[in-house]
Amino acid sequence: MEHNPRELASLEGEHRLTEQELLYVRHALDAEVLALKKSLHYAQEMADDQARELLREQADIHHRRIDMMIALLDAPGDITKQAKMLLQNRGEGYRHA
Amino acid sequence: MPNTHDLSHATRGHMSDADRLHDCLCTAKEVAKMYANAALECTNNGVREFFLALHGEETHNQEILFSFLHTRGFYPTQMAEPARIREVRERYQQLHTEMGLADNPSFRRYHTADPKLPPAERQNPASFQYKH
Repeated sequence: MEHNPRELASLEGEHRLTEQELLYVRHALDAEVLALKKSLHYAQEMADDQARELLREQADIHHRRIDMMIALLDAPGDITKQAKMLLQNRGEGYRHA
Repeated sequence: MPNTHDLSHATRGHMSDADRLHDCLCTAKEVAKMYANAALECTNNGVREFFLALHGEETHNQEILFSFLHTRGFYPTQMAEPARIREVRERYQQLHTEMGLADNPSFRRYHTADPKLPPAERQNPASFQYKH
């Protein structure tokens, strides 16, 4: 059976995360975890109700992204499909992707 | 009734609400830059789109934080003087003329912007191949 160059590249693992991509996912996770901690901490200290609410919303956004990136790392096969599915299901369902 | 304090109020040596929001704004800017860099370094198209989507979302967050501070007067910005705008415009109009850019640019879609195959597969020059 013959494969074209793209199929061969795919069979050889082109659709896994590269080291460079993994490095950026790690950076992003570090940044998001810190931003989440900061938002939660500051929200508690805020005197203004609207500012407190804004920071709680920010905390939820960082929390959701951390879940998304962990789900990206859990990708069983094709990382392209997993990344696109995570974007489509943003906000729901990616924990069980 | 919502509890709306003066955001700038802070006891000596402690952070005010505005300080905390400024800190979050700085974080949002750095995170947005990080996602833009991450997208630029991606090999996989799906992962690139993933990072670009997060970049867009974080840019939107940054805008919300900025507007919150800006509308309350804690992030003042200054309008450019019309004379300064004219000065810059004239400088680049002059360069434009010097470069002879009188004709309108073409709106055709360049083949290089949307190749049918990745350049490495399409061209595959000898210099592109690995030497073991």
